[in-house]
Amino acid sequence: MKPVLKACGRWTAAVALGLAMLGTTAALADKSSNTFNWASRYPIDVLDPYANTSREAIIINGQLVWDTLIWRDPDSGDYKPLLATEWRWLDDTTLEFKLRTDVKWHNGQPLTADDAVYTLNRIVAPGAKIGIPRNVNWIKGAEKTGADTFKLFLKAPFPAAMEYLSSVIPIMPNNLYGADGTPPTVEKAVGTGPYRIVSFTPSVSTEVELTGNYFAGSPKGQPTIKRIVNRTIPDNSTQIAELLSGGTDWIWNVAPDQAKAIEKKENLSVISAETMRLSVIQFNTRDTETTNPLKDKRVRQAIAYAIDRDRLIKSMVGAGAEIPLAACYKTQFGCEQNVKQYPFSADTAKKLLAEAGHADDLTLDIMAFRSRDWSAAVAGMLNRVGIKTTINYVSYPAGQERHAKNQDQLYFQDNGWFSINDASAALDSFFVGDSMDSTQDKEITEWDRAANSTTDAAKRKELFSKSLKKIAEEMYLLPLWSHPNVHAFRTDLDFKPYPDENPRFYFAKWK
Amino acid sequence: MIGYLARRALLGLAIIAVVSLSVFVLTNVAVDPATVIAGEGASRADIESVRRTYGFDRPVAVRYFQWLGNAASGNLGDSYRQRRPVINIVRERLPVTVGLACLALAISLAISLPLAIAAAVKRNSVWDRLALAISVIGQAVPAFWIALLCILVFSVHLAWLPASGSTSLAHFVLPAFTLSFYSTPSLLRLTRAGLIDVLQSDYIRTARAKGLRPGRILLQHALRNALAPVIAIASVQFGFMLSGSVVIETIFSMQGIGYLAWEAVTSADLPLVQALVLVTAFFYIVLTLTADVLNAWLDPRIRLA
Repeated sequence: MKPVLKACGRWTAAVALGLAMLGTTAALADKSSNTFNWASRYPIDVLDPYANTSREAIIINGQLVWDTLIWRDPDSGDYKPLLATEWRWLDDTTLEFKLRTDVKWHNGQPLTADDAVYTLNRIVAPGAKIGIPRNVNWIKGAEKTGADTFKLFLKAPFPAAMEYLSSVIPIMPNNLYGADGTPPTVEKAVGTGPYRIVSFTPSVSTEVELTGNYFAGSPKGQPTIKRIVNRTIPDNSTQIAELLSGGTDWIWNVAPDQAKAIEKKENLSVISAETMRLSVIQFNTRDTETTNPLKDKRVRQAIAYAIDRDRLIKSMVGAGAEIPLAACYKTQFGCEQNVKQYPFSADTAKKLLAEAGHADDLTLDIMAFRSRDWSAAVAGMLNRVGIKTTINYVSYPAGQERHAKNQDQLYFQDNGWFSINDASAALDSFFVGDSMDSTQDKEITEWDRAANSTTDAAKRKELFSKSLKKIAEEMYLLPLWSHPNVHAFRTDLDFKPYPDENPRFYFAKWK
Repeated sequence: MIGYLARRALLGLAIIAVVSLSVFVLTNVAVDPATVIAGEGASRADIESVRRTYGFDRPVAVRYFQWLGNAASGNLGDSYRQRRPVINIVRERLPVTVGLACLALAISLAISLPLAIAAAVKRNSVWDRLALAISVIGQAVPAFWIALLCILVFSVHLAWLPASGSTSLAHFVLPAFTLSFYSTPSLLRLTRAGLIDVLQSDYIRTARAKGLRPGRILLQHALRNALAPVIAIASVQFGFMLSGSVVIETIFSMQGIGYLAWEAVTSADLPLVQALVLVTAFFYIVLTLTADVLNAWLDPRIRLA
């Protein structure tokens, strides 16, 4: 037996040596070289953040390399100057900005109003192919009024403008795309942010490096991590393996059950933080070919009472999740919290169903494009009060198409509204009166339109309040729970997550 | 021979045309590309804006013939997501998949051929049982499970190999081994069965009677004839590997054309999907033709005319 074991040992050593000689060049996490590696599922396809659809590109990398005109303090919610020192509304559709004069691009050129005007006019030009059109489609254009001043024109009053300007509208250098529209290279894609791009492989990896001369007084502070490297790793299990083996320092969207295994490692920390993303059930109350039971308010309310959200959060959704009181996220401006609530009560649900004449004959279709297990759990709870269900698990586009064509009943979905901290972002997704509005409540649509047409904060709050109270009273949309986002990272990394799913790496530092 | 090759080339072109048409229609009809490109949370107005910007408001037939015309002149279009010519993207990603496929096929052949020979020569021996066990396990165990197990053992616990990426030879070891698991069973079983059949034939008995050495009989006479079906299967499997294994490349985060195809389909990057389909169809046609020619060379009884 001994010779066999000896031989095995020799072979193992030989294999290990052979593998080592293959030249592993994985970017191992390395605090000593002040390099921070983070991995995420969604790729950065193009250097220009406007051309992307992923949060990783638009928000995370976008805010490391570029700056917005204003900056929203994630703790206080206040807007603070970033590239602009001052701004004021000239009327409901015109904003005037004054830029800092001490900001330089990574190539040494000074920031001027030409850069801002170019950026804002380019993103609304026909054929610009913006990744997320809704981020910019409220802008009409911009006009230079001085070396460091310019006006921004809106198509119509848009009170959430400051939200967008402080998060997803970075200022790019003048003539970034050149006359022929060629996408920028690494050398051309300069920013004003604390980090400059040093290498980029589309959809694979992005490496940024601290410039060392970020302008003083920026509310983003002066970051200390020298290099930040992003890698796209589509599979969650592989991300965890990379974290465990030291190949990466930070991952997010970890499944709660896998988080428990990571927590046991001494050198790794896990934080499950609540996010703005809500799971909701949208009820289709429109006329359909056959009698639509969801037109009856009592049926919708019965469904709301039938779902034990507390229990589902504890058993499935995980730590960090909360039951939203209204059909928006609590920090969004105008998100009225004093609306009718539907605590779990199977008896009330059964009573309402009986009153509606559906004591035991109701069969409903649940359509979902994500969270298969959650939608199945909801179906199980509906079953317990006598509602039979079928689950149609479809792709997102197919779901949207069926919904627009009035071919669904209960639409289980989630939305993070791209972290826009204004209730209009939530209400505009469901109640604008278009084919995606399965309620077609003219009153709510009108209130929403009116709230989106005035910059009077008090008036807006009042209008949002009326909408949200009616949505809850009529049970047009059932907010189920806020999504937790489980972040796992090295214990020696000082990192704080925020509900808007924007991991501000410029605040991160090594302990 | 030249006539045969010309006929096969024409047939190949016809197959590529049919495949590209089918994929174009399916990708445009199965889902609304404008909805996918506009992204989650987009309003109907945003979706309609995307539809106009990308030209999806034109009939599918018009778009297909425009694409075909451009493709015929060598322009396969720009990727909707990466905003650059798809041909450049495919060219960048192809070496990863080709490298992975070659390594996987080499591992597969290195395991299956010697083991199949041993199993055929010594039937019901421990080698035969081992071959049977590998065949059963290889066919029964899903590739993703093997992949995750390999990552757990060799990357997390032993820290010998990287878990993901494709920047060094070390990154290819685990994916290639996992991918080879898919093709090994069929190659193993086919070679073994073929050899057993050939070893019982009259001309082998004659060779033995003539006093030829067993090694020469096995390798020069028996194996040569037993390999014909193996080559056909190997070429198909190599084609499969070259078209990219979506599962393997996704799990190991390898930047090959399999993962690229998954990305392109899920994001409705239609020019990229079309380009990948063309490349894949081309591989299959060339490999099938190569297998036919190889078989004819190995077995002169097979005529290409």
